[in-house]
Amino acid sequence: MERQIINKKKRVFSLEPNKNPSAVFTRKYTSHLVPALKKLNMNKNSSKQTVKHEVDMALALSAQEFAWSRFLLQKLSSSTNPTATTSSSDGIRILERSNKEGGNEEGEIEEKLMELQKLLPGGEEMNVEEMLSEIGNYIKCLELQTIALKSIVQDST
Amino acid sequence: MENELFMNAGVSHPPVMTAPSSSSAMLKWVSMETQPVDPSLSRNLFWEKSTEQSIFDSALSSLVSSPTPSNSNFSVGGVGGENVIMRELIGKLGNIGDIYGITASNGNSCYATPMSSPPPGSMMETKTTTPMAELSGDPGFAERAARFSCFGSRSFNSRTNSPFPINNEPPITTNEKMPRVSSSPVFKPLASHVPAGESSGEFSRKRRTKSKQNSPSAVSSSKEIEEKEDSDPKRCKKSEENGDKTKSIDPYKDYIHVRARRGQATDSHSLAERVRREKISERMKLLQDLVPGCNKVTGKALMLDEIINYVQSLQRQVEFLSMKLSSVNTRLDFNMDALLSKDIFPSSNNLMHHQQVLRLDSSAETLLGDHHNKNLQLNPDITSNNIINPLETSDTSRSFIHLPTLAHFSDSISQYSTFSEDDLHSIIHMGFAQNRLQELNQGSSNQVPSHMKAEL
Repeated sequence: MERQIINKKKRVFSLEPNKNPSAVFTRKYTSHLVPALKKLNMNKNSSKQTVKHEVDMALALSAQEFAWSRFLLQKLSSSTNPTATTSSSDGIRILERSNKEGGNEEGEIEEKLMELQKLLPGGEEMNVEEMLSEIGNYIKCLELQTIALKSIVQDST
Repeated sequence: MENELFMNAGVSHPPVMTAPSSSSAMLKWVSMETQPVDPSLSRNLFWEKSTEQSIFDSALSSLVSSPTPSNSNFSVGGVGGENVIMRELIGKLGNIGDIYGITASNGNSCYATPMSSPPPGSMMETKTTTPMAELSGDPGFAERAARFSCFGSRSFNSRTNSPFPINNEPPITTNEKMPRVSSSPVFKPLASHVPAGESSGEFSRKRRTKSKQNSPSAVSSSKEIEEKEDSDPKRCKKSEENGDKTKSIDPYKDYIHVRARRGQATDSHSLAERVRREKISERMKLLQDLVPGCNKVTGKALMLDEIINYVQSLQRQVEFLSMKLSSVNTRLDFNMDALLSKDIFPSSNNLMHHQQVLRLDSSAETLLGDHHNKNLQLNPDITSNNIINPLETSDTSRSFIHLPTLAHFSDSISQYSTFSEDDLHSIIHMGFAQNRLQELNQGSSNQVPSHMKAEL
């Protein structure tokens, strides 16, 4: 008890918790994902695909201010198999292919940009500048998502 | 005579424009120019082509129809017969200027800056004194003259022939160049200011996205096309390109002006290309800050490689974790499983609600604890602080001490560590813990946030 009181004094509180977008996103993400996982567990028919679906759905729902989340939601609602991560394997192949070509620099950069577009959900429908800024948001959300998933997994084991 | 003309033109003076001297207007513009870019800036930086065009039409039609007044001493650029027409135009176009004045007063417009580049500024000073002496009766005219004389000086210096033939087309084109958004050198500090502000400190996603949306558009929109040659087809082309390229918030004002730099090609294609390249490189810089290990890499291609690898690794990580989660999920021994299988929405009774809240609390705190660990790489300090304290301080939570759920908490508490103020808390003040406690009208819960705040 005393130890807890002593530890209390080390804490610093944020007076504006809703202003920190990382915390907002993480909170939203967990609040979407954890109940969904519980529900999945209740239904007892959870496959790996369904969990991934829920994970991606939670990501898309938590980041609705970004364009890529809309595209991700579309993909998820259209099919039960999300295509968001299957592009990663395609991306590896495309990268290797482009390295072998060895064309001029501008062409390489263009190819890499196209490849980056494939990684981002909905990236192909965006122009390059928009895509680059969306990639930044996407990276940040992916990072927060991995942290959240790690902690949930850790918490459950 | 001049007053008649301007009254005929129906000039209206918004309060901003009734500044007594043009010098004060200059100062105002200069100060407006140096203000930092904010999200509303982008709106003001874009050209209102639609409204401008209509007013130009009306102004020019009235100009053509009105009788030419007698020649006056008003000298702009030393061109003879066109002075009169120039003055009339300035009078008519005062309407348009007022529009820009309004926009300038509304936001931190960069229309400030004809003053920024010295030659027009110096010429403006000389010009404003002379018309001021003669036409001091109309303060609005002095302002407009000050604003338009820079344009007048440029066009007069460049063109040997008359810039203002009576026919409608060229005046429209030349007059469209008028209000000058700040030149690119001026905007560079602002552009550099914005990314510096963004990348410094903790990453703020929303702030970043907003400023990313606005800063590239603000940077590009602040430059202007100063082509002496064909402006019309270029402008149409530019507007087309910009329609594709800009991510403008305001659909009416998506017109970008680029100034041709000294010693560089002034072709419309290359200008557009340059704008595009600059936008892309700016965003690449922002991405460089975001992706770890990208600082050492130079060059677009390598950086793009890094970014691609990083995104792929993140996606693979998410995939792996979700697979792990699915395997864990099936064998997860839920102490509160039966309890949480009840409805988690507020329709349930208080007990369930609290348990759900506490469960979410624990999961959120673990993850934020891990986030803290990851960022600062501290060894987790195995202390039980944050969860226990809400439990202790609120009456509601005390009732849970007897519940089996607390066993779960005591297990997971060992994972918690001290939190830094960044991540902070958000957890304790977090929506779904405190708000729900307050929803259930627990008197002590209202004390909880204040109690915790007092501990600072």
